[in-house]
Amino acid sequence: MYKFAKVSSLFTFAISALSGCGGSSNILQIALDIEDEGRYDELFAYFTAETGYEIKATYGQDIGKLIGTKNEPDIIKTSTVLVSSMKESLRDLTSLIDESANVSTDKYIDSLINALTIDNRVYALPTSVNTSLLYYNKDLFDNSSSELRAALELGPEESVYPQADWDYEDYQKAGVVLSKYSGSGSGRIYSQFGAETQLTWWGEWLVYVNQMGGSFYEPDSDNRICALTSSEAIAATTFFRQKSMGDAATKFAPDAIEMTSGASFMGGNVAMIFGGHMGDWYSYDALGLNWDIQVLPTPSGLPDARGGEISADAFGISARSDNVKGAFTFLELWTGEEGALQMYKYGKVSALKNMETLISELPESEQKNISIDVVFDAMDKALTLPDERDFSKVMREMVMSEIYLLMYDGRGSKSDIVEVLTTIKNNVDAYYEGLYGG
Amino acid sequence: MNRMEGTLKPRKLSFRQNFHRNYKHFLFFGAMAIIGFFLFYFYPIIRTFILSLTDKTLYGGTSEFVGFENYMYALTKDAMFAKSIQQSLIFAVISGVFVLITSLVLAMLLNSKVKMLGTFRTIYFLPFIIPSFAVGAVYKNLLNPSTGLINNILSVLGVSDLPLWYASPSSALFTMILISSFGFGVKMVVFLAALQEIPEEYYEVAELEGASKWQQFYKITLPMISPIIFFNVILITIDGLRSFSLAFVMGNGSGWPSNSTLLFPIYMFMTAFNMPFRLGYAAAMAWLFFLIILGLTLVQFALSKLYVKKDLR
Repeated sequence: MYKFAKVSSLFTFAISALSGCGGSSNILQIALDIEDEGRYDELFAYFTAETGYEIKATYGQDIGKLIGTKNEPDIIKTSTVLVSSMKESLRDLTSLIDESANVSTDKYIDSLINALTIDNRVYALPTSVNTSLLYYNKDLFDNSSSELRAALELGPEESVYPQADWDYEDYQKAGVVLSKYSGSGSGRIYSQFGAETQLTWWGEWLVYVNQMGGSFYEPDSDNRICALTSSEAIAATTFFRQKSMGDAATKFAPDAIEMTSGASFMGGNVAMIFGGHMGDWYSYDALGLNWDIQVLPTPSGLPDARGGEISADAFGISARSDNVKGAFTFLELWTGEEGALQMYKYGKVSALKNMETLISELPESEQKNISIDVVFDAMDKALTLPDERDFSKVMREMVMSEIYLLMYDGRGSKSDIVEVLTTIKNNVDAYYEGLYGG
Repeated sequence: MNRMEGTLKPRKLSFRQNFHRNYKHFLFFGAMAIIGFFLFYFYPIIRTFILSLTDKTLYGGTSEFVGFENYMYALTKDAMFAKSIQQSLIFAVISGVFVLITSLVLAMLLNSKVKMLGTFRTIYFLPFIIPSFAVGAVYKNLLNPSTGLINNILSVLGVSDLPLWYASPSSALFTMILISSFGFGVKMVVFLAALQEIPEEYYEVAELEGASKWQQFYKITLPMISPIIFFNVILITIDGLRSFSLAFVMGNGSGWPSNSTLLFPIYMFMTAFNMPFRLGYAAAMAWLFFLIILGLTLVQFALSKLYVKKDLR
């Protein structure tokens, strides 16, 4: 018995030592994306020097699995999209914010802090923003400058690059010029495209729908009834299809099959992305692309159309954390100006309202070589995603899967846009009826 | 006589003696497996069942007991659940038949006295030891509709209407079946072992009696290896229904294109680990799928009575 007790206690001690159970309470844990490894060490060291708290960061771990196994860090990454699903794992920050001298919800872009607020309680604070922009490859534009001038009827002093007042017609004309192919008719083989086609997510197609005045859900339907059979949704889908499936005079993006051949903005053989992700900036630079951004083109006759998306990464505190004070102190730094400027080094733009001013005050050597003011113009015209927890599931499984059928020629493909949109509407409505009742 | 009886009659042992003599070593050597079974199989199975009766989400701190609601929803309202089960069954049956026939034919070829037997055996076994993720990635390149080697060869051969392989929803599942059909390595080795167990004299006698090769196969080989065929059928069916990694690579983890490669394990994974992270519902789906596999296995056991010949030696 004595022997058993001795072995048991030694075993318990060993496990405790290995799992860090005896760790001190001035250690704060945070789980970040794999690409963030090493980027914020300087900021963490600064925080440790200022507060005495040590930041223990892990990279590339799935936060869902960490929460599921009750191994989540003190500081949890979420987003404006995920926060409603993660609410129960996050501590309500409202009283901490109210008591704080450094953090105020007024400091952040209204639409983003609103998305992180559920029933008047704030569950996370926003860090880097993602908003829909038009990305373009300057080298590809320069290579076709004379053709672009002719197609867009530009004077000798005017820039060939995308402009803030571009409409879909300008976007398409430039795209067609920037598309290069050999062969003719159905035998055309493209070596370069004017624009990418987003088929694995909704970030392009849905922007067209919104910009044209349509919406995914019927207004006042509590996000339960699909509105995709509207004339605006049909017009948007027609434009989306034509840019990939049209004839040589209208086509400027790859269809679903051509996309498998590696046509991409990052690959350097596609001139524009409509609605790309701001998280890719660092990769564009790393690949040596000569790129810039512009606000999204709008439908002809609707220069003020809203429709681009806006979302943000955000950080909250684990509901199970026993180090709330330390974690909130870190959030103050992380979501404040110091964190914003550190993230900007790696191509991320903070959700702080004064971020534009902060950037303008940076020395020129630390500024990005792109039209950063465009980001803030784009945010003003952007919309947050519908506040509906099944939205991304519905889009993935019922919407983009059907839209795909319109985007290639061959067995199983479809060409009747109204029929496809009606199928989507029926499936989505039936899904919500099954989930919530009629 | 009495002395003889006294020595032959087994001495009755007490429980303690019996334990020390017979079970001590069994428990000692079996403990690891038994503990492992309870920790890593039995406990998760029970935990999954409990989870399936709740509305638990991945990030949810609390959950409510919902009884068999999740089961009813899957069976009566979730069209994607039905679609994923249907596609998993198609995948398992077609690729299963192909694997069964291919592995048997190749095992018979290897069982004949051919040169370089070891080399062929290694080549046929290789696809099995390469991870499915790598196999999927390689085949995605080979079968790329625009730049892949296969379509380039077909084009050189004059084929005008080139197949779209995994990029078209109408051929993606078939493409996946085709690729998975090369995973016959283990089954082939099992068949080969069974074929080598058949006494050579049976065939010699059959030849003397004038039996053709087909008759020898039908009357000797098939009955003799029928228990192994049954074993492989069970193995292949379960493997096919549980197939995940190949479908994950081919379908970008989401059943792409247009849900055509959405096998059941992928749908279950998506339900649990993508928004809105319905862990309880995914657990119910796992149990339903377990019951489907159990049902199919029982059917196969029943059918086996029609073709499995026992004690032929």
